[in-house]
Amino acid sequence: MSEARILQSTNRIETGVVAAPDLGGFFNENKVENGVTIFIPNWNHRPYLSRSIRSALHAVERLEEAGLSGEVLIIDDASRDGSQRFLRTIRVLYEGVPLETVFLERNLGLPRLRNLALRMSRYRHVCMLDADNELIADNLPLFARSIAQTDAALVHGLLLDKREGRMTGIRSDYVASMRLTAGNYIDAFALVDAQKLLRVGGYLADSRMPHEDWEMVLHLIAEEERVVFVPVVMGYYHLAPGSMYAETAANKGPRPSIAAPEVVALLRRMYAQTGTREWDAIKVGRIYHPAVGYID
Amino acid sequence: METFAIVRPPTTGDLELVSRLSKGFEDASLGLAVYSPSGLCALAPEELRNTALLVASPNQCIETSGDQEAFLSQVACARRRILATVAPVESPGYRGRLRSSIDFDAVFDVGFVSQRERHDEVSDVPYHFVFNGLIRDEEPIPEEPSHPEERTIPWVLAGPRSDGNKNLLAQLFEHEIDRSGLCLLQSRTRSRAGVELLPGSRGLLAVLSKARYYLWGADSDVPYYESFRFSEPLLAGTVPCKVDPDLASEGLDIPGLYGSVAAFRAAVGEEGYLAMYRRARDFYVSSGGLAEHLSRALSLV
Repeated sequence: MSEARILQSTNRIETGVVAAPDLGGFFNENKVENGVTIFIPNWNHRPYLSRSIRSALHAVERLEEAGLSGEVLIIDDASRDGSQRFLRTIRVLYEGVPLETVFLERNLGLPRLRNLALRMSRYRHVCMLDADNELIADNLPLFARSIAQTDAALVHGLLLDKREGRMTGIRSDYVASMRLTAGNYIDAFALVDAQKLLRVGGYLADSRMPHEDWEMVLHLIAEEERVVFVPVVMGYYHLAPGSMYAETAANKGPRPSIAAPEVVALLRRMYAQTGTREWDAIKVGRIYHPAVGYID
Repeated sequence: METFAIVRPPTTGDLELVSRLSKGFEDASLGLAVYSPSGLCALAPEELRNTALLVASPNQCIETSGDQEAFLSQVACARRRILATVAPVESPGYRGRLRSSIDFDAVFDVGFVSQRERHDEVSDVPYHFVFNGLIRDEEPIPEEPSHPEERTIPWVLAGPRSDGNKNLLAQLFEHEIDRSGLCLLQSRTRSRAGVELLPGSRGLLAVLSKARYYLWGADSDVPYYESFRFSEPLLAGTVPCKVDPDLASEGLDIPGLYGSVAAFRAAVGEEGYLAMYRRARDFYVSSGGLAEHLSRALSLV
């Protein structure tokens, strides 16, 4: 879908929160600094929404305690599981808190949804929180400080895999390197600079490229934007049979690093034409902590 | 008069052990020559006749010597051959070293806890425990850590990405210990390009200077205390803490050894950072220097 079509599709947005239905009212061109928009995309994840929203609202409280500000932005991508009803109830229950809900009539798909959130976010920095995942609320201010202090386009922290309440693994736990051209190890669950991402074209919405988060990291590297790893836990990555992860596993292979060969081929065509980029020792990511500075 | 030498592989193996032993010999005012395997081969055999030769990572020494026969022949010329090791007796590495083609006169096991009984079950080679004590470069260790109020990182979990360390991370979160700690777990698979995917030793030191507790879990199923993980954090003002249920159940007299995260949390609550630091420091300072322990072991071989 072209950018023009995407913009047209946003005309179909209806919301009980935003009164003005026109596009201009939705997009925030002048982003506010010193805060974070926590964006939760939802498509038929009603059972998990309460967990992700709760963690996001706690994170907003932690931001405020740290002298920052925040909002939660939830865009429902034309769910059929009653998510809208649930979200409206939540909206009523949490009246007065910075929680925005937007309901799309037609499904846009995750990359376009993310781009929409980048345009709509009140704050320059956006935390991409999948509907079935959970933020470690206490740590968001630390990541917010990190992205502000490093002027990075993307800051990622560790994610703890949880299955049936037990931790089963760790992801997003290494700094970006050209090894990313061979396989992804940085999840979309990260803090991004909306302006920087929009400036480089946003997430790629292309049916040939289902790993828009992987492509984005490689794109940012190619655009010489800063990708920073803060070795602190950002959140939980919940693994449930019907979760986003399970969908990803079913549609794209269990981990992006073993994505479908045609996807890998396409990405390598885009970012690793020489076939040797994963061996390139160039430093593309940095490791940072606000208490220490750069630690690589 | 007997001289001392150590041979070690050029780039791999127990290089940290070799570096530490070199400092211990220096502190004991004992001259020590350090050779690569090929360097050892280049010596005239008579140069080794009065030499007590310590060997670190013997199998790697043999492999990298370029001429295994010549290397083994040179080692055999030494007056005494001592295996220098830092590993649990039950590990394949320890046993593999003893099974190398070198006929050792003694084993020097560098650590915090003697493994004599366990060693005696697997080998007849005389065993000598060398306490991995203080070296002169580390003195003086301050009685109080510098600027405790600036240590805003509650804990650092560092080490290999083992099940023990992953379990420890999970427990830290389950027990709701301050969640803003740093986690640096290194996969055994390194970047193909050799790019460091986690901070190197300088970066870790910078982190330690802002942290209160340095944590690690069991790296293997074998109960073992990694003494080499103790002094660097302590010198940076961080309290070294190992959480290992099996090891803790042995009742060892090492500060900062806990059977569970709950026990660690209780210690933090009851004792606090400064008292735990002092306890770790006092243990290390009062246990004697490496030079002293090394000299004693050498006199017994």
